[in-house]
Amino acid sequence: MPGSVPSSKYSIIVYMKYGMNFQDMISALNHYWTKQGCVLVQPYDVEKGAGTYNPETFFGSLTKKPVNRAYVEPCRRPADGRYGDNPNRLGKYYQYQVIMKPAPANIQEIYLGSLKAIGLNPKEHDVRWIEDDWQSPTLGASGVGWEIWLDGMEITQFTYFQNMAGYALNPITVEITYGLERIAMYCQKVDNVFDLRWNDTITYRDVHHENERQFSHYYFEESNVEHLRRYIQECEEECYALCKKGLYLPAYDNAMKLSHYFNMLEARGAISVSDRTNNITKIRNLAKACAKAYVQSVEKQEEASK
Amino acid sequence: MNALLEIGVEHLPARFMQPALTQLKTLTENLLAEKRIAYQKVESFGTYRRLVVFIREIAPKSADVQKEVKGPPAKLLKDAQGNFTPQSAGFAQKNGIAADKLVVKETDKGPFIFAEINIKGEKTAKLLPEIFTRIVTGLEFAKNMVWESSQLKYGRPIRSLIGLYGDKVIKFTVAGVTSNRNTYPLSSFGRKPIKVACADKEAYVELLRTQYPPILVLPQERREALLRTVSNEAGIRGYQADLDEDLITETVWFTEHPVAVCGDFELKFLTLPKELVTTVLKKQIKMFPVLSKKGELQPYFIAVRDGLSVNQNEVCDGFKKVMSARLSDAVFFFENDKKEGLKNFKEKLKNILFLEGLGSLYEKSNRTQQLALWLCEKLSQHAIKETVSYAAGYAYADLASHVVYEFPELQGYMGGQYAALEEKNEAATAMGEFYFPLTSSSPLPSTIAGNLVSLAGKIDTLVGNFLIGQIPTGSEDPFALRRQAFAVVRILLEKEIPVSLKELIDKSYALYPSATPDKGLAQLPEFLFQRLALVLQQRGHNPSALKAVCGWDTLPLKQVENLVGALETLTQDASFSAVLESAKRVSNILKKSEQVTASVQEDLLELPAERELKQTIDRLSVTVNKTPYTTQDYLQLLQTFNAFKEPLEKFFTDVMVNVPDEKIRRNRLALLTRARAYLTQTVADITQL
Repeated sequence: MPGSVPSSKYSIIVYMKYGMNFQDMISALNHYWTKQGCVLVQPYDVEKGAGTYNPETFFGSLTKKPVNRAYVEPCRRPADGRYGDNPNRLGKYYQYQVIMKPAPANIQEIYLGSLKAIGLNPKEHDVRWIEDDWQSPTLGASGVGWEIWLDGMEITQFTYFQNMAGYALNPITVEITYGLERIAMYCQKVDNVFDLRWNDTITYRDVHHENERQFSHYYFEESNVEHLRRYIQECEEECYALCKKGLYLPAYDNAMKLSHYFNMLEARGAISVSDRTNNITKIRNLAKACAKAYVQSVEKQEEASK
Repeated sequence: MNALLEIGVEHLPARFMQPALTQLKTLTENLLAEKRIAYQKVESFGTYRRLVVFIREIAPKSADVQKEVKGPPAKLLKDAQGNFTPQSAGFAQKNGIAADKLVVKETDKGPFIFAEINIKGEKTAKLLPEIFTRIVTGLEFAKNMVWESSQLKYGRPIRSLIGLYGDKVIKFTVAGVTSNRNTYPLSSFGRKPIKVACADKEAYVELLRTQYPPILVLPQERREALLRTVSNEAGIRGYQADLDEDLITETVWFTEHPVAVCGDFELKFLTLPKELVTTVLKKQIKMFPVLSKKGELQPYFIAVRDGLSVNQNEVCDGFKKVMSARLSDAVFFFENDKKEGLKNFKEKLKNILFLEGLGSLYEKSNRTQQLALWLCEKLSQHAIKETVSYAAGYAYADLASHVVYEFPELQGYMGGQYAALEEKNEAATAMGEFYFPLTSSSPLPSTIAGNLVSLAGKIDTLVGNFLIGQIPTGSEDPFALRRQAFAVVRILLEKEIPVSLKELIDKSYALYPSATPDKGLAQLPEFLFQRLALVLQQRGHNPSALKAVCGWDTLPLKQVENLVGALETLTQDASFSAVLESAKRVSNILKKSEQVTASVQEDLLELPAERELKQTIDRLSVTVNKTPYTTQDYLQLLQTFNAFKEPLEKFFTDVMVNVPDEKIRRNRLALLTRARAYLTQTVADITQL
């Protein structure tokens, strides 16, 4: 397929015919959400299963302070890896995540504007808002909202957070999560994710295929179960110890890592049903401990400033 | 003048819509009654983005109230110092008047304090802000959320409000949104306000209908448009759409202007079982399947979009891609299942729990099989034994298949498909209909084998749940045991299965391991009794006659129904009714007297009336045998009761039961005890009628 990638001198024609390339799409979203007042932050450098785990979202949603952020988030789902052989499945992929607190009254309209910004005019497509109340048992979080279907395909999760780490939230954060590869595949009209044009000369295959292949081997065959179990234990200990000292940020890093190691064990088939429930509870308790440390520190600051 | 309220919301889930519109109407009517405002009619309608209440011909003022309320006695009006007492002051305050406006009036019980209340009606325009606010906030949804600082709990965020009274805007604010006269276009078509001039339903509906794209705010109109556009897409291809009622209703509630898009899919998908394809289409991606005139599935789908028919080809390509991906998944699951086969699935059932403490589905399969085979024996259905054995043994196997894991609603159907692949056609039919009847009124399995297997599975489920004390209470019935009990009763009755419920439950219980603890099986007969009463009622019977049937659970249900029918006929009969009254009298006397278990002594029968009653009882000792009784048989049997009419009446006229002589009294009670036994225990307790 790389050979069939149109060269850049035809890029305008290509653009019209095939939609934006992957990096242009990200740039367009960055540009759009920056205009909406979002702070553009960079991906967080700890492995995570979804953009919601990013501390910007996790801690950001918890207090009264306004928060507006946009970022690309690489997400690792070890069990979803397919050695780069499956046209739709990846062990690592990209989400585009927007959070706004308080949620603007016209947030739906703003979101629809973002589709237009990446070349999808909502008037010319079927944009359907399907009831889907998101929840994350590991973060102790839940929200109300929709998955958004574009001509039948799920492209975005749109959620008004209601709870995070067991805390009932006020004000409410809206979280918008785009599945970037899916949207790009739709825009570029390709059936295989690896055929996506990353820019006009390089494909998604060029950038990520080897990564997919190697990490699938690692996650499914080579990861050391004993080590993983030990890491999990160490992360748990470290997380609680740091929480006690009020160092909720590094504590939370440890919770994220633990969650990733747990996902790795699951991909390895080393998790029984009861193990699974126990580990989910373990992660939720860590998330709660971090949230508590954070909320307490904010309260202390507020009192001090009085 | 009219009033109009529109609540503009972000997309409400389809399932919230009908309850919301019903509540809107009732809420409005209740509030108008509370505020004493007359009106001609309240209507509620709308879409998933606008909930509308229209009040036709609302009165300009609320009604005046003039009434007199009686308070405490007059002596409590003022104290010795001439001040109003706490009692009188409190009474005045409660009625919203000043204490010096209280009056004293004479009544036939002496002088009392009265409050004369004279409330003037208020202008409707002044009351509407509160009414509108309370309508909006009074709505309740199946699931709520908060989104703004007032923390109002609602189905989805409120983004606009219209309050109109005639052509005037009624100002009110809910959840930070203040009312005006603006509504907005379809969700993908911007937020340019559409101004509603006045509270006029027809004009409002027309205003929205003439927008571009149109908004069909009346659900009925939207439904018609949906049926038209979907049928039209199928029609121009010479086919018809599978107009699934659930999907139509859902689509009506998630569109404001439905437009159909028709596309085709690859022929290879037609090799999949039909229900699998239609389930993927309808449930997963909410599309209508397309059928030939004969009902054969065609390689087309009809999707419905909300908006315009622009860019149809590209939209259609999108839908096609999604559908093709979903059907490819289905092919993948189905092919894997075919490779595995029912035998392997059944093995996997060993790892699937049936109920906590009651083992796996594998064990349940075996019990179901044994129970079904026992039924075959009972019914002397030897020819179908092999079919029943196969169907019952594999009835649950499809629960371990990939397809049923992905599409739980295809349980049973897929089992039938897999059995057909193994050329067990009769068993396949039975397995395909294993979960029948799917609703209380839908058909039972079509074959006798199917009915026996279905019955066995359901009884085993009921017995298991009751054994572990998992018994439905109130609205809680997560395992749909009521529906299953209803189905059991229907099969036994409609298929005239000559087995009693008691036998069936006992046999089923015996198939569970003997160490199984019992936390509530004794409650199962009563549970089934209630379903039986319902089924009999639906079949035109008076369920109260059922209460009179003796040992209803020891008889085949068809026989119970026959007996109920006979009892119903007899209650119309004058002689029988007289016996019935006498029987009740006998019963009442015995209830108030000491218990006598001794037999009747002939030599102590003093009066002719006593002897006559005794002879009647002796003469009539009818034995009831087990052969099925028709309604006519029961009628004949029960008519023998009429012989008691005169002896009993005579007994009550001539004989005094409670005489001082203990021997005589006890003998008379013994005689009545025998009469009662005959009248209440032979086949039916007629005192219950």
